[in-house]
Amino acid sequence: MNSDLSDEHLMSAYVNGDQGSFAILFERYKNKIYGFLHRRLGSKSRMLVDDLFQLTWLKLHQSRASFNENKLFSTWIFTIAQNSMLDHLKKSSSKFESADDLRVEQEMDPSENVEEKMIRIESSDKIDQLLLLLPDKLREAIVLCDLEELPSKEVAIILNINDVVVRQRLFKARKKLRELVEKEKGGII
Amino acid sequence: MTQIPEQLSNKVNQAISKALEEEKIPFKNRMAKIILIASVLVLFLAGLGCISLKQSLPTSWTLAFIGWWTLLIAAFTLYFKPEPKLEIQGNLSSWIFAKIIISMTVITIFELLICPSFVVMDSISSWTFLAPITDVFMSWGGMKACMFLCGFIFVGLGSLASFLLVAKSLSGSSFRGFIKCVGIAYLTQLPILWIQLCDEMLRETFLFWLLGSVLSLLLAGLIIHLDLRRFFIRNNI
Repeated sequence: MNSDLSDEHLMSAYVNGDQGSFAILFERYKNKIYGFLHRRLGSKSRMLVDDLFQLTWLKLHQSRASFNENKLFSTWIFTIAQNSMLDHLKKSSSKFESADDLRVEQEMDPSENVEEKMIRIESSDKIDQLLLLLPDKLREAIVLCDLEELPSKEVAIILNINDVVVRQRLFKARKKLRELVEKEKGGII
Repeated sequence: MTQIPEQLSNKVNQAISKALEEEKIPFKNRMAKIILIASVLVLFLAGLGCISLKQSLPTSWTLAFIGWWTLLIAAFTLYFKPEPKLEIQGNLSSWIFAKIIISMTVITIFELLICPSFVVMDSISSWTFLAPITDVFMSWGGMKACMFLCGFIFVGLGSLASFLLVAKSLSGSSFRGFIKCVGIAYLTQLPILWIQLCDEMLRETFLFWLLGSVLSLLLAGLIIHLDLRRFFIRNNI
């Protein structure tokens, strides 16, 4: 199978049972989907991220016959991931730690001293941690647009909102993130 | 970019690739394999039954084994349905239900073969090492208590073992999913009810066995469904 083929061509072949096409699609999107879920839920809920990653691919496999070739594959798979995550959080809000719980935990960690804080901020997942401090709606916009590099029109379809609203949220998210970065830097000094 | 753990990536990739491969197997071939596996398993267990009873199986037992054979065929059909076999918390798919039926059937038949009450009804078995327990139960409240406790303990332990096999999927599932799992698990007990109804002595007290078995099945299901193990750990109990 030619790995230069578009996602949509590969998806059509996968729908017809081609294993090679699936393998290429999986290779292309596995880190993007995992990263998306990881950023939305945080590293503390690793098991939940793993489960939702599996659920996304399971749903994709089960509903692959309904894929519309005229639509973008990336939009479709991110929509599945987004919906799986929302459904799961809604269903199990009382049983599992939600993204909000995680955010509160990170904001109110009394055991963390200045030295630990410096190490944490300088760690490679600094941005991921700051992203968790953003409100859900702003975070999903910035994760999809800036980190997954999806066009705002695609993000609008995934989130089921207007393109203009996506850009507004993206603007607010960037501004808020910039403020958080400044605040973190100020905290250290 | 966040990197996916290698193990998780391989698991998902292999599960979906295998499902795609299985889709290519003709239905006839799949069914032939299913009937063969179910038949071999039931014949093996029925053979153990003959050894346990030291004679050929009575008609009621034969019909019970036919019931289990039918259930196993249904379960293996679900198990070998081409779908990615991924265990996800709260996600109950057909192969998970199949796992419950298969494990519960096998455990149930083994338990039945060593249960002194059932075996003694037809002939004296060499496997009645649990007879002292029956004596204790009988001394507490006669046959009624014995049947209730037998149903409660044997079905409870068997279902707990079966539910543990699917613990990840069952814990955190919806209430409807939980009821489905319990209902499906109880299907494997219907042949035992049939054996009791066919026996004059057991018929009088079978309702106590029914009550004990239903209660223990619900309890075992709840323990896994509500993930009580994690609850106790979290609360240092």
